[in-house]
Amino acid sequence: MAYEELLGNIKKIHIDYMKLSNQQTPFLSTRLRARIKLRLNKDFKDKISDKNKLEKVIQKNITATRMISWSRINSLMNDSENDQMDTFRSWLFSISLDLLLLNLVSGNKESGMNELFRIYNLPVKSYIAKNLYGKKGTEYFNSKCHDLTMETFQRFQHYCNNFSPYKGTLFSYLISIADHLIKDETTRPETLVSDFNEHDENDTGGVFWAISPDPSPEEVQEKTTFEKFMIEQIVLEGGYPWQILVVLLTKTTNDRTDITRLEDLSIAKIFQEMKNSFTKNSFHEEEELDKLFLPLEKQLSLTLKEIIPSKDHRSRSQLERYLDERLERLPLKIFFGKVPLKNIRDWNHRLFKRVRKKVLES
Amino acid sequence: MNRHLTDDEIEQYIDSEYLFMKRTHELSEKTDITSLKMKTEVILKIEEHLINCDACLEKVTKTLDFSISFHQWFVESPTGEQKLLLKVLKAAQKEENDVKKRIMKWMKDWQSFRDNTIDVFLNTTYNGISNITKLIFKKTKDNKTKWSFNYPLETFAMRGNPDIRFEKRIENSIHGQIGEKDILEIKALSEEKSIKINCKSQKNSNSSPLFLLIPLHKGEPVIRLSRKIKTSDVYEITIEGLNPGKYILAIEPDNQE
Repeated sequence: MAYEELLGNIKKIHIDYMKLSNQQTPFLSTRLRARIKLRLNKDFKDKISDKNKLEKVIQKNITATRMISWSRINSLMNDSENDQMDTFRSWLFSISLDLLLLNLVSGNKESGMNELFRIYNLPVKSYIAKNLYGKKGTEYFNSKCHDLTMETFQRFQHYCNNFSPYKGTLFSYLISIADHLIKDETTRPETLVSDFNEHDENDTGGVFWAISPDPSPEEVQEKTTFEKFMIEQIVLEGGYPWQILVVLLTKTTNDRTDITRLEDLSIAKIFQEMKNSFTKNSFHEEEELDKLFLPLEKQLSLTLKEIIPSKDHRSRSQLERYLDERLERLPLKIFFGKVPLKNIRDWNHRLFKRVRKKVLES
Repeated sequence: MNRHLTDDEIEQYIDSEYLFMKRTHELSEKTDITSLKMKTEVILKIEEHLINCDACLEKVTKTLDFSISFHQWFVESPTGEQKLLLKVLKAAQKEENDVKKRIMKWMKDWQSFRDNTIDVFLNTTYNGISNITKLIFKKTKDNKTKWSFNYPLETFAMRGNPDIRFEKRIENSIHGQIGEKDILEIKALSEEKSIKINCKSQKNSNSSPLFLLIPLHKGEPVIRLSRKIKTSDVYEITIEGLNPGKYILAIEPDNQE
């Protein structure tokens, strides 16, 4: 009968699939070990020192990954640009990583929650910002998005045992939590007084630092010190002053077209604009920032000839007409190419690589 | 791989696996995306080496930690509460050592700090109405505070019928109790531009009560150690010269000793 043949085929396919996924065991094992050593070593210390224990954890994870992947085989996408086997292996690894993080979070392990937050906080925040009703771009809207993102992760921590990896990814579960919170927000009465005392106190259990709503003196002091170090490095090593200004402005906005709208302003005005928006988003007071930005401010009064070294022929020829002009008087647009957004992305990426190199060399 | 990883390999591995794995679409055409997304085979070789080479593992960990911190810093900005805490910590630096220590200890339990605060509206807009001066204490579900607060009442006779009397809350003044005992009286005085606090000494405390008045917008927090009125068990504080606006008045929890 047809259905008997069909069931027989399915069984055969299942056996073949299990064989194929079993061949990926060394791949998954290596990837999981590296991830544990690099990001989750705090909670695996005893297992890293005992090879058998670590092996057991990894084998258990891989066995479960194979079963889960079979139940979710429909979510494996065809990727015409990449090798199908590469796509399959990446997909398997994402399942095993979800499983590893889930086990850590449900076991109340700090590194699991921190890694989960690191991987998914930006996509979750973007989803909330896209779907939350409100005036986008305002400080109130941004802080609401931030609060809802934090709450999404707190709820995940609370309800992680309800999540079944057989049904979907961790990310889809986080998105479903965020969706509920967004809907709740539309029915919540408007708050009129300072949000400070109206903090929702639903979660009484312990929370990890990454998602803790409560600031601590050590944490804010550490963040302040790191911010000072970063600004110093960026101002010193970040590249040309106009590039640094644009990158610092990027930090203060969610929408980069806000920066391209300023292209007619002079660099002096852009500097002021950057300082104003940075002050609102900084751990430092205005006077402290003035001191940190002083080397950058000093460069504004120089001519382009003095700023661009003679060996940078490309920049010199592109800006030939303006070489004798003082930087502060020039409009931002002369430094942009045909697509300013591309320049902004490039400058951000290059500045990060430059600063990272310098910091690690030192 | 029988050799150590190069700096470029380390950077490419981190960019591919930890930083730009979902964000390659954000990079411009000029950026060489192939250099960001590594092939699975290359990643596997690097990770096989990392598992067995402590020197490279340390180098990668260091680079990865910095890269993640940079990206986190780039997208984060301080929350209102973090800014508030920083303001208090900075103001505490100017105080004497014992006061500084008390504040540091106080700030370590943020929930307790938050639970022992009163919102102060001094000659400012509230609910869309201007020139309002009032004090508000909000009791939340898991509030840790021992304090309970109430407003004093003012009684009025009805015009034409003095037998009918009305009661009205005086909202610029608040009385604080612990258990049955009246301990605290706070008044916000808009004309004097000041806040006046009277506080009775408590049995289990030897030190003067400490109060913090934190402006929500501009200005530095005011840290005040109360002074004992001679021949009485009452401490008094007056904070003068206040600009109209919203403030948070924080009362040091008495379990600090």
